[in-house]
Amino acid sequence: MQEENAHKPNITRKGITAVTGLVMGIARIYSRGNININPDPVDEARLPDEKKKFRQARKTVGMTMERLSDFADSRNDSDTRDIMNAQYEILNDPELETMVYQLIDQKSFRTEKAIYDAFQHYIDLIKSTDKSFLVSRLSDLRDMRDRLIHNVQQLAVIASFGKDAVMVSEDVSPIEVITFARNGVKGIICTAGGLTSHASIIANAMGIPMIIGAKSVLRTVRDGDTIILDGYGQNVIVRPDDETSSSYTRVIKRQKEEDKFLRHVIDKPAETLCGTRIELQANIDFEDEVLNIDKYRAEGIGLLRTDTLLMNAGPLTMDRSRQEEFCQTAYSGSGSAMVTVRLLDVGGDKLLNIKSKEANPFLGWRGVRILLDRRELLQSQLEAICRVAGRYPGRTRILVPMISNLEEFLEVKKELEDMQGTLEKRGVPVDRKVKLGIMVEVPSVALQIRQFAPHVDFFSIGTNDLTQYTLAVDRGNNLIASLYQPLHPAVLTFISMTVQAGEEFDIPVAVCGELASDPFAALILAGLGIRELSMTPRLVPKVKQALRLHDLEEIKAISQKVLGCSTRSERETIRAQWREAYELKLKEERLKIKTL
Amino acid sequence: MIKKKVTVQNAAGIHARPASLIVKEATRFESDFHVHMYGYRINGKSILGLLTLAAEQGAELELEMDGPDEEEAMERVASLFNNGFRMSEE
Repeated sequence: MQEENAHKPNITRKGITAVTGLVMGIARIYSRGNININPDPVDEARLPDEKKKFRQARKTVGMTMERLSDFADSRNDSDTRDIMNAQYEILNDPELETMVYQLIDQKSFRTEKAIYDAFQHYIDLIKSTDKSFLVSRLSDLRDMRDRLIHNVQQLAVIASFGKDAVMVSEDVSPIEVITFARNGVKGIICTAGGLTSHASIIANAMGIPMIIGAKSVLRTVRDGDTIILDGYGQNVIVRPDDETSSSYTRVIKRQKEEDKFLRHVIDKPAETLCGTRIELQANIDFEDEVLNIDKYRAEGIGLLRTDTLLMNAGPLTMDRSRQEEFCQTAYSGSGSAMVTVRLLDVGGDKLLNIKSKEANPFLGWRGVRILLDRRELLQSQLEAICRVAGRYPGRTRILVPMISNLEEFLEVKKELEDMQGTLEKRGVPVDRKVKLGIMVEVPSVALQIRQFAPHVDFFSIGTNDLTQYTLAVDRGNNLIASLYQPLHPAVLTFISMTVQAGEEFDIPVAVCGELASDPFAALILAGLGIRELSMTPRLVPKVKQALRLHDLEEIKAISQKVLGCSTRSERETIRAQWREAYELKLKEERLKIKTL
Repeated sequence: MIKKKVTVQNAAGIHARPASLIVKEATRFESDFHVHMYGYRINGKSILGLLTLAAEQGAELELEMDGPDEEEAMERVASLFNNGFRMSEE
């Protein structure tokens, strides 16, 4: 490793911001490393912890396995399925568990050592049978052993990092990001990684600033160095000098004041200056995020993504009880408000582990197209949702993604009704008032929105996909990043058409793309007539503040101006003018609050 | 408690796949399940235990079920042995 920069202060490295934010902390170099077993016994007081570590590791490894195994089932891949099933049984072997616990209790072994020895016991026994049909398969056992030990050690390493940690790593997995979040990690810097990777989606959901593609950082940083992650400037600064660090400290302080200031709007209604209500809902991907709904006073869940249930392993089927559990957590964490559950929206960038690559995945097999080809998957989703909906009557909306023609919707509707009938017959309480709606993200749907309106209960506009399909711009492609313009008049026209159809047919229209969390965009959407905006919960107060300082007429005027723009630079000018005026309003507001 | 003698019929013997089928089936029932072979007695809900038996085609085993649902459990598990773990290809 090249280390000529190892002591130089203030080294700046470029990266790509995956999750915005600014933090300063202690760099902790994180790598998965090799397994090493510490044979020393631990104090007796720590023995219960060692057992707990085993259970946690088994749970994490098991989650990954279950999904892989289901996945193999769905593809009729019997070899993989057999291996997975056997490994799953090994993981949950009751005798293995007993032996691990005994080794911990009786010999005071660390979890890793106990797991290693328990597996070794069985490996030796099987070897001694001298039967080649078993001995040749010992790799399955070793694989499970290593996965468990890895997991135990990862957890231990991360937990030791402390609250100021900024992780520096080559790459991170979704599970690792969740573990970071639970241990209070401040930021994540990766040398590799793509913008749409699941790890960055989780980091965003958890509110952990993240920079990826910071290629040479690992060559300059040492474990324990002070490090700044500047998501706004897309920079990483290693060992900042006094001047740099104090200027960043000032910015961070200002940010904190801003957050504190936003707290005053938290309990106020989400409405414009003139009193028009705009519902601000939460986009939720993970169970861990559910607490944020109440914390930031989001009004229910405008988008409950179920895709993340597939994540860690990436199969195309899901365990129904796991889905039910996830929905249950979401409902119980959102008071008595509506919960909009979106059916699986994998495909395109989210499709994993599928061998046959599609030439145009975004125009390919995704969303409802997959669900209709994999009925058992659709049915398991509908069953999980219906079961939970029955426990919380009147609170459910189901959102069907990637609809491009009406037949697809009618098919799903029929499946829903069939499922409700089946459950009723089995005596399961069912809510017949569950609303079924579609994502408006394909231009043909927006153009024909009136044909859909008589059949659907609500529309939800997915701005990310609507933008990329309307403008023919791949949002993940850096070469054309500047062409990706969610506020392009063509996109806004489609949104406006949807709103009009909604008014005409008396159907709610929501926007659930991340666009809604940009205050300027949120105002424009409200100006076009959108009354439900769904976003990452921690951004709710910021949007609410913007709405509360504008009159509906004023917002409408801005929307119309943007709708009439013919170039990007005209739009940027309008945004800049608005920004200036808004800063003044904010200043007045701050003064008002201080004098109160 | 009930017992029943079975013979391993499939050519490949009890390797990982049949063993996981046995465990999967047996753990659906509440009854305790043990397998006797050459004087060993192992927990039949443990895949590792089953593997250590290294039972090949023709091996005779005794299944032992003990619990409220022992009859049905025995029937289901014994039938796995009798149909060669549904492995016609072997």
